[in-house]
Amino acid sequence: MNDFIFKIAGEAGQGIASAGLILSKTALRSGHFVFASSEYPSLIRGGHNVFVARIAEEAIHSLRSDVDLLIALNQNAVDLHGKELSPGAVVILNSDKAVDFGFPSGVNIFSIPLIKLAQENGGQELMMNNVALGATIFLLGADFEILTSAIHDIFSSAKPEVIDLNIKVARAGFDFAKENFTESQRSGSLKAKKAAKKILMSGNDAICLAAVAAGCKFFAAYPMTPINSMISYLSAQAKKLGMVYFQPEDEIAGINSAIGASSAGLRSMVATSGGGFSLMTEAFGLAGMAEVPLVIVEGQRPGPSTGLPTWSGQGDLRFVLHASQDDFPRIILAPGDQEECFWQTIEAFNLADKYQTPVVILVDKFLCESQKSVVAFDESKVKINQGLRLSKEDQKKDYLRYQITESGISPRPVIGRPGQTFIFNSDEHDQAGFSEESSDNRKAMMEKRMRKLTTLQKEMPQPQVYGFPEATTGLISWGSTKGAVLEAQKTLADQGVETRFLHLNYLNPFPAEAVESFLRNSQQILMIEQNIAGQAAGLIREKTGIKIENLLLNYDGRPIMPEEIVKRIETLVKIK
Amino acid sequence: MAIEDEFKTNQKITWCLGCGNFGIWAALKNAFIEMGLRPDQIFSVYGIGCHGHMINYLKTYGFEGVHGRALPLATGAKIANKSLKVMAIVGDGDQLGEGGNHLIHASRRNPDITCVLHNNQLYSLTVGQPSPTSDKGAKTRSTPEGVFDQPFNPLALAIASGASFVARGFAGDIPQLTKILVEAVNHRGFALVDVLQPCVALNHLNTYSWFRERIYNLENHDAKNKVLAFEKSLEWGEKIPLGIFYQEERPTLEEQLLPDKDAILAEQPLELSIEKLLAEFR
Repeated sequence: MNDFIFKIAGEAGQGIASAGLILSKTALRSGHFVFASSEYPSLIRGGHNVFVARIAEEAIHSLRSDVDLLIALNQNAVDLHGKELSPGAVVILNSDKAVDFGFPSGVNIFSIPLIKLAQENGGQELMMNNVALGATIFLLGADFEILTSAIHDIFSSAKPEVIDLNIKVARAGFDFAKENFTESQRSGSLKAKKAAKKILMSGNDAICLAAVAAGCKFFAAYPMTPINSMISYLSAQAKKLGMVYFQPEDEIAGINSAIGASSAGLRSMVATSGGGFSLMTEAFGLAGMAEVPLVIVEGQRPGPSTGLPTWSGQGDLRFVLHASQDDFPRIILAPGDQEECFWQTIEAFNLADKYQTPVVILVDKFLCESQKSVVAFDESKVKINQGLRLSKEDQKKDYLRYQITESGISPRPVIGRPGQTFIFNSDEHDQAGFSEESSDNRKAMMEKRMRKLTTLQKEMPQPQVYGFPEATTGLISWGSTKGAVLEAQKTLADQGVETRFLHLNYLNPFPAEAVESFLRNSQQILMIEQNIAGQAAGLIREKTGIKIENLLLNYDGRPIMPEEIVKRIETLVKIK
Repeated sequence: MAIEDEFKTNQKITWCLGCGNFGIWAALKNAFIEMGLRPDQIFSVYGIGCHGHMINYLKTYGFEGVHGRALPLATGAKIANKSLKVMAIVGDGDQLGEGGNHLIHASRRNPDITCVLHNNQLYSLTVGQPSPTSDKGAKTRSTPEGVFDQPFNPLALAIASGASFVARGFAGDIPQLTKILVEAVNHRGFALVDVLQPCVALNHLNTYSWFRERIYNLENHDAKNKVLAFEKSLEWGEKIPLGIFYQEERPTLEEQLLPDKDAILAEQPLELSIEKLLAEFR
């Protein structure tokens, strides 16, 4: 097992996520690659929780459907996930809460009284997850010391005696496994190996780190899944990092306060999901009209309305493309993984400043909360570009805040400097900012603002194409489906099917020429996205005139799996 | 009233002749001049309504936002640059209708902002529907039988929500309004100044003479006494009190929220190493 799927399942409140994270960190520190995700209902206690991680010796980009190692903390876990097990899978069964019944043949069951062991060693029932981890570590041949360090870090805010107790019960699980199972049953899948140092982080973490590195000083967010971990991360260290986290009374106050902070010179960011963005739409247009830089993180989850609050989807593309009245320049980025979350967030702050307009980072629950092992970002490559700013001296002379220029960009003065004052105006305004309704002025100002997108279009990066550049089978996706497509390409290549894959992470302005040429040079195309209407396929048709016939649309709230893509391509290629 | 001054722009004024907005505009400029402020030390944030046109006439740094949202805009700006005198210049429909929630929360938080409420008891820019402060029974374009609802009491709401400075002035008494505005801007914390503003075009009930028959100045009033302030704030009808109802000293939002309460956040360098932060993810 040098590439396996690990799943721990049980009741909400049983420490599923922390146990999953501890094992993921143990794998990471043992030199392996990790991709991890948790699934939970919109409840604090009582629902069914699942943490799933793929652990491999080579770089990986997504999960898979089959489960190779299951820790079943209760009967529900057996009933719901027994059928997902791969042939020869390993199950660590909590014999205090579940019975060994109904597993497919060939599965190796290790029954362990997890609760009894936790309690016998001075722990509470809740610590059964760590007992299971101890046993898992034994079976996978990992180093117990690495597990200890991971427990230390995950529980770093707990009292030392609590941490020690967690380690003690993990040891009990390890010892139990050692006494009751044989050496031949150990797999060695998690043996420590030498490898480049990596970090394990979620999309939210990557966005937060990038915001800090980009000099974001004002972050306003009203709590909402899936961006809550951004709030906890940044609020905990805001003062240390020289920034402010502001919890507004609603998303309307959130975006308006961020626009206010930005207007007075701060790099500012808001984060929300579709429902909160609905409340932000009026001020989204305000930022466009008043030409105020702003970064908006929109973590999609399935709607409409409350929808599936803790699941994932890509149903807000059309919404962010068209939200708010009339036209204004909006920039929409859709990072595909943790690395892109980091680098495109840096870029978002630069673009917002340079074009003095709002930039949306369109992510989703799966990307926001999934953890992936990545090589630590090279900080020296972070470049801050604040765009065209009026000098202090020039602000003392006469100038026009909304000066009409060829690029559409007016040199930006700063509120509060000694010198000539200026105004931001949500009314149509003249170049000085004063309200002005004449026909000539209206046309000139609309054109000036929209010209910023034309300027950007000339310098924006082209979408990346992965796989075999000469292949005639083309795949297109955007945002977080990237990982599943890359994995599918690998599987297909192993079967002798060559594909190339265009990933869209710049959705507005839209890279129409690159997409059109990709489409025209492919014999068959499969579009993959996570909404029912094929929103990006519709956008492609609008921008290129080309209708993509084959759509793989997934809208059940679950992340798309590589196997589904492989299956569709196999069908397509065979038909041909 | 100063006719030409450094706080006046060259823009043509479109308010109706006799509009209460002229009095508020004049009192604001007088207050700034009296305090020795320059236009570049002030950031005036406006909502939408007749009052919002002032962005074109009052020469300071300015931002006209969307309807009802001046207070969050102003709060963000104050956090960014604590050295600015931040004014939220708002209307009754604007701030108490669409923006009511923000008034409650600004009162709780206590940012050092002065909120000047142009209260004409009507939606005048849309030619005369009732606002939250219209008197019960007032006949307007959309209430042929008279307003059914109780009027909103901005002073009582602000006091109950924790505002640290609550006052009322009258647009027809510029010297007194100037005095109140000076106190409000000097107050360290959130100051609400409710300004009775006759709408000469559409409000034929709450006219200059209607107010003049009823208004009186609070005298020998203990503005530190919250219960008394609340009681006075409920007085409306035959007698309408003006002056400072309530004032207390307490920490401002910025003093508590800013990483360095003595530094201007917008002047801090952007570059920051994330090396240590990255290490936590190993």
